[in-house]
This record gives sequence, structure tokens and C-alpha cells, in this order.
Amino acid sequence: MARKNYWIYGNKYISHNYMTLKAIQPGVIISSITAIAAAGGEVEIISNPTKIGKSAAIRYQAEVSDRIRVTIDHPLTEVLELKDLISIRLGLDNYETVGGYTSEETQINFNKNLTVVYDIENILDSFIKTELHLSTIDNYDNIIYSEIIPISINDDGWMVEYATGVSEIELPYKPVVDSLYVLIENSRINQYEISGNKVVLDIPEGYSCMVLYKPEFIEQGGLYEFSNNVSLTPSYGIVLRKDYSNKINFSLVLDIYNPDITSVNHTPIIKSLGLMTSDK
Amino acid sequence: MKEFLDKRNSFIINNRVGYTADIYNDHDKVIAIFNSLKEISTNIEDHVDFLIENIDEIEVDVKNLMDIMKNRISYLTSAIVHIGKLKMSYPAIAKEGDIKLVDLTKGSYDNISYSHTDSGLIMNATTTTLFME
Repeated sequence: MARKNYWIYGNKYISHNYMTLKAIQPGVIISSITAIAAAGGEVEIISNPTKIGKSAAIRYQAEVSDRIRVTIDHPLTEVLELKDLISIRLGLDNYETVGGYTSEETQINFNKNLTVVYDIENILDSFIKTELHLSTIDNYDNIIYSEIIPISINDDGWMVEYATGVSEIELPYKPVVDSLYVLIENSRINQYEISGNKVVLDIPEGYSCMVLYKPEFIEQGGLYEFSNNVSLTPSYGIVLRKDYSNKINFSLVLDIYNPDITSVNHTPIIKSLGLMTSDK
Repeated sequence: MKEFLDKRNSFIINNRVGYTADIYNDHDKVIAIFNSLKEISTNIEDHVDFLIENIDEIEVDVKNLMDIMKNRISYLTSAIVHIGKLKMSYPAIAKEGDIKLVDLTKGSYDNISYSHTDSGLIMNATTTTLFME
């Protein structure tokens, strides 16, 4: 493992309190990062060795500078230039309004009851659309069935759908009509029709639309039959058909909408995500 | 009644005089208390001088200690949240292998990054400048 220091520069002095690190080569470890502040002093941004996965971000106190010093541990530091190891961008935190995350496939013991567990901080006015992609497999690794189950990890059980430039938005669950909020560019509109699970409306070209709603089944109680293999409880507990399943392969897909209606410079922080199964 | 009140007054006055007399009679005790105060003040002065002399190191140490504590508390909070959910959802004891958390540092990201500062996924910033060698 070779360690190397790099001085890197922007094209002007900027205020920054946010850094994204995108690894070009796998296994990059950042040993330290310091910024030369406007007053000339060297300010520490990272002091502990930090392993960068595909993409990592660091938030810190705002600094004004045009150069930073990066120390990297990687076997190829002697033969590759910095741009072939890692891409470093600095900015002031004014966050994206739409983003997505897909977890790697993970395996868990099969039990018929499933609950998605999560810990999200700083959610404020953002909404998260969540899909649980799962396949149940038998002892010989044959897939018994696969399902994509939309669920809510917003505390109140509301769901969200997002679209741009379409004339109708299909919702995975029948909505409680009175609960519908249809927002175009964050402004609520009332000119839409509901046809079954579809919200029919005209979204002007280049505008985005967000539909917030409460699914009917969470108010009805009892089990909601999502498909032949999956039923849902009103609190988004998932009940699976057993068959000969032994394990479950799952992945969580998140679409995060951060409309920033009431706050600026805000991001939700997703601290943990997972799945829990039980036969009780 | 008058007799009773006179006796009571006398009793109270005697008692007050008694207490005062106790305090002033025990002259050595008072001196000992003042000496003790003087000694403690000197000790405090020494400690304050030491703190002033080493303020930079102390600030760094306190900051490091706070960071470590924050990380530990964050980890514990996360564990407690999950245990709470587990307890509320399933009273039966879950086996190992029945709970799996996904590794947030792995997966695919779109306008989202794993923040080491926050120990979680956050949205990317909208305006960033590329820094190069």
C-alpha cells in the first residue's frame, strides 16, 4: 500500500462545506484531507483513514479556499494520476431535490412475516418512495417467486409517486381520495381526475409532479392481498406465501424527494435500512 | 398564660445566646475553616493556571472526546431503535439470520452519497466544483 500526497486546485476561491469523493479505482483509502483556508492556515477536513466505497460525502464547517491537500493510500498511487484514482468535488450544501439508492442484494432466512426496518433522521419535508425487491429461494437455490413490493417508510404511512411530462400517474395502491395531494413544482393543484389507481392530469413539459396519498388498505384493517404470494398488514408488515422457500434474497430501492418547501440546505439522513423476518 | 409566654421568651432568648456563644467560643474551629478555605483557593488557582497554560491541548482533547462520545451515542441510538422495533413488532426472540441490515456504503447511488460525517446516506449538493491536480 503506497501513500501519496496530492495538492489539488479549483479554478477560483469558493466557499465549501461539502465534498463528494467518487472512487475510480476500487479500494481507495483517504488518509487525510486538509484545506488551505483564506487566512492561510491549513484546516483538517479528514484526519482518520476513511475507506471510500463507490461514492462518499463529507460535511464540515464552511471554508473558503481554492486548494486542498489529499493523502491517499492505494497500491497504484505510484503509477496512476489522481484523476485515475478518485474524483473530488467541493460545494456549498444546497442539496439535490431528487435522488435514488439501490442496495446490494442481501440474503436473509425465510420466515413468512417481514418488516422493513429503518432509521432516518432529519426527514423534515422530504418523502421516500420505497420498494422491496425480493426473491424467495429453496434449498437448491431455485427461485420460487419474485415480487416488487412498494411500501412506506414515511412515519405516517403515506406513499409518494413522482413523474415528469406524463398525462397520468399510476399508483400501486388505491388511494383514499380525500388524502390526495397533487403537487406540480411544489404547488398544490386540484385539476386532476382519478380513474381506479390512476391520477389523470396534464403535467406541463419540463415540470415535475408529485402525488402524495394514503392507501385505502391502511385504513381498512385486516390483511390486504397484494398478490398471490404477498399480503400486507395496515402497518406495511409483509406476509409471504411459504411454499418450499428457505431463504430470501432482497434489495431495497429508495427514491428520495426533497422538495425543500419549508427549509433550505436540508438533506434527510438515512442511518440504516434492513429487513427482519419472523414466523410468529 | 402570661407565665407560659414569659417562660417561652426566656427559653428562646437563652437558646439563641447559647448558639452564638457556641460559635464564638469555638475560635479554633473558625480559624481552621478560614485556613482550609485559603488552602483550597490556592489549589484552585494552581489548577486554573494549569488549564490556562494548556488550553490548546485541552480543547483538542475535549473535541476528540466529544467526537468519540457522539459516534458511540449514535451507534447505541441506532441499536436501540432497532431493538425497540424488534420488540414492538415481534415479541418472540428473533434468531441470528432473521435480521439483516444492508450495507449503505455499497449499492448504486443517484444524486445520493454515503456521508462518513453523518454515518448515513445524504443527498448530493447541487453545485460543486471539480478540484484537480
